[in-house]
Amino acid sequence: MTAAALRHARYVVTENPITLVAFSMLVTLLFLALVGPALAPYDPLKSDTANTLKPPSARHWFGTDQLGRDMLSRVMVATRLDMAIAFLSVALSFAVGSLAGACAGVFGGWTERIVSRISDTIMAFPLFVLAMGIVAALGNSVFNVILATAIINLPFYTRMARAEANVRREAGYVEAARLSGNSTMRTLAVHIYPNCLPPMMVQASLNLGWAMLNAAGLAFIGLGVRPPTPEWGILVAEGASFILSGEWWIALFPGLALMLAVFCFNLMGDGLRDLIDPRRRT
Amino acid sequence: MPLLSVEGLSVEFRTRDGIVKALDRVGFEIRRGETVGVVGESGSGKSVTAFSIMRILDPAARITGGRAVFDGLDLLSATEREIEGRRGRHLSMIFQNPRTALNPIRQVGRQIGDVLLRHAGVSRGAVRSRAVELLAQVQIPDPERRYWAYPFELSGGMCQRVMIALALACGPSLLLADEPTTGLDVTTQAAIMDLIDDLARARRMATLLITHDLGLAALHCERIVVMHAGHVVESAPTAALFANPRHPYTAKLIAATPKPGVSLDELAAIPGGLPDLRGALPACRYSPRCERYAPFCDEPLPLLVPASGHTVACWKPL
Amino acid sequence: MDTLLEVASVSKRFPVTVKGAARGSEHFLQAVDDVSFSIGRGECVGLVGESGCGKSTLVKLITRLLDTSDGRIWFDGQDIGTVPADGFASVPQRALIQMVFQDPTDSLNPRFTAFDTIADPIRRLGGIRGSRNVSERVLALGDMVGLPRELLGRYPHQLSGGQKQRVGIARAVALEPRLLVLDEPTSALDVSVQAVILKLLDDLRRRLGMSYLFVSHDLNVVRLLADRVLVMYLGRIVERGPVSLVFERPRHPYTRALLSCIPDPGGGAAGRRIRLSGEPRSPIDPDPKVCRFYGRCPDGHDRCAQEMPLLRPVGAEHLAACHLA
Repeated sequence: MTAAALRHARYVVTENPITLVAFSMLVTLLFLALVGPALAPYDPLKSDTANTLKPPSARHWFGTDQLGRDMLSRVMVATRLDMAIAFLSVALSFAVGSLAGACAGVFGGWTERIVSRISDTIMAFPLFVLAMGIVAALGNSVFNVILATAIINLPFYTRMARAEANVRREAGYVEAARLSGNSTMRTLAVHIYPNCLPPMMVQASLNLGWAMLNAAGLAFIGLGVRPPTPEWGILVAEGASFILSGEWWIALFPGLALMLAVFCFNLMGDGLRDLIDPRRRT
Repeated sequence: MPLLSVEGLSVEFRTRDGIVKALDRVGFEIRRGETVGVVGESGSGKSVTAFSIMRILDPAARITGGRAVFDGLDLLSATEREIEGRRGRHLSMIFQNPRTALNPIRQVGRQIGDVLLRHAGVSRGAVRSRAVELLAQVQIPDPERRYWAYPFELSGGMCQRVMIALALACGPSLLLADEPTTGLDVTTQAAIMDLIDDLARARRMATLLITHDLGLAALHCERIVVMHAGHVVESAPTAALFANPRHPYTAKLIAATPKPGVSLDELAAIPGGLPDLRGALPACRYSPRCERYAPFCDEPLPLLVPASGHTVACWKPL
Repeated sequence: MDTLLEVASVSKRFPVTVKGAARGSEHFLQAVDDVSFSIGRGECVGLVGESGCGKSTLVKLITRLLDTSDGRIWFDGQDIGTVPADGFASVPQRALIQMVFQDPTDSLNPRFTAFDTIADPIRRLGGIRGSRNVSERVLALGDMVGLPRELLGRYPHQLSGGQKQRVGIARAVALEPRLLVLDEPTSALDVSVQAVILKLLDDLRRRLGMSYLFVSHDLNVVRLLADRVLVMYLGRIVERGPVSLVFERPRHPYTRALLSCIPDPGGGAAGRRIRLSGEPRSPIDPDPKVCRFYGRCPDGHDRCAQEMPLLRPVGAEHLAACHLA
């Protein structure tokens, strides 16, 4: 990254206090995802039957669950899995969706028809139900959760990419690229596609939150990630049955973590777009 | 008594890179029924001037000084309520790029109707026929049918006519026209300008024509105000301005405009570029580009008093 | 004169849907209709006309960004009309026909620096290998168009209109084309910058021995650079000839009206301005027997509605398509 790009990044982050807050939260989450397991005070999988259902205290900041496992450790370690699922599924969705959409926008004809019909088909389903169906059919694994989440988010990207590519197809610099000897494929790859990306960054960021919620939701109902793997959705599911009996902390903390992560991603949207749009660079 | 008298108008814009001093003590006047042209290149501040008078500046802008007295009321210090009472009814504006200045999802006839209802106090029953009348006055063929047209269904020239109808709906005494024919064909341009001239004459309406096209201003304006980088540099009756330009920039501008009989070699270019309007600026903003520059040009220029004669803001006029 | 470009009876039709038409009926918008002209080596030919006259489409046909519906195009003796537009990028003539665009902002890729923009054609078609050689060429081009070297690393939004246009010109001449099409190259620029760019273009033409097709709606500008001029109206050429003849003694009523509408910056009286009434005829399914200008034309006879006037000589190398010329 050049010095100018870093300076621009710093500018974008500090200009708007909201972006700064979001960015700090993101850094914290990423940090936890990377080193969480090493920092966790207790082994998240180790049960301690003497200390079950203890409320938050100095020894266990987030309390313990029904098997005596430390909730703080479990929430921290779960960060990695949730972030991984969110980022990987959005990355997959973005890559495939934006490419398909851009091709559809530029080539039209059958490419566009096929891409549009596939998108329409996906959108015809209630998305969460479709995800459930995919995971149920393919089996419970983290990979399948990522795949399912990626599939249900495809249409957002194909639509945006198609619209953006359609507009840019007529731009002067695209004609100039053709005149300079760029083949149609090269024009698409080098000139049109990169310019479609900035508006899609906001979408991608919002999608991160949604993908995370989706994975948590699937885990909550028992699909995808299975206990005892710590994952915020599972943790909330386990804690749900204890709320009525008064052990509120088991569901609250993972729920809070989930909420803050999604909130952070939503706030990041605009900041991200400013970061990669060269027009904002001064 | 002039209809509009602008004096010492100064405007600043707050941007992320500093404060842009867009206008510095701009002054001129327009009398009833007169057509005055404000001529300048991009960045000269001519549009900002019009927007300031109409009080439709960007929120990042601040009027830091001056008065714009219109029919007894200082528009710059008036309340929002007082301005609303004048805007649209006594004082209206047409913009560049007519298609984007109209509401794209509302039929044009209805848009005219909106203005009539709001500002001209026309009753609901009479609105449609009055709107059709206005469309006919701006020479739109088949006005009854075109009442229901959307802006995208009309050509650029027709959209501009609709905008003129909108602006003139309430019979204002002053029309601000911000580059009304830029982007239109030259034959359409001639027709639109003729229309504005005819209507202005018939209603004794004053027009402030803002344009970068000197030729256009020469043809349609009685007086011309030349602006450069936020300053008024010269102001004169049209014939006098062209026969005897006194500011070096005006002379250069005239010499740089292609006209018959002038070859490419004789065409003048103006060296340098617009000064950066942020940061420190010399007293005369043209001095860095001026070949007649002398040390006394750094003296602050006197405030250009709006007057009817030939005035120039220069310590060493031609 | 040695001919570089020869255009013979070129037409372009676009299928359109017409509201309220019978089902199954086909309708076409005739954007360019039976256009023929030639450009000689080293010559500058002006193309004037208003919006909707088809000059943008004609430009796309000549630069081979679009395929013709009818007619032939010869470039330097080779028939280039037969190569489809999609595949033209790999043909040797691609480098020899280039274009400068009207809108400097729209014609530069916002993610490319000025350097990248100018280097693109060199890397694609310039046959120059090695980043240092490419660099040298880009720097040389930047100097040739008067672009300060420190601006080469900037993005389009950091450049002024005149600077962006210089980048566009450098890109266009990078491959030393023989034919350069200039599509209103100065209409988006201030008049002070316009003079500089026009002089640059004139200078480049002589230096690199190029031919120009100079498209503009501003006849005063065309007058400065062009040797000959073509006047287009609704897809057809209505008059063509040497610039001085066409501008001083226009023979087609449309040309006369066009010339009379130009405001004279000398501040003189407009003279008798010919006002054109009504709207132009529809370019969709035009009647091939009716003159396109009939109805708006201040003169007009029955014959004009029965027989399409063709270009015929009205002076030395001066042709007009009018029954009354």
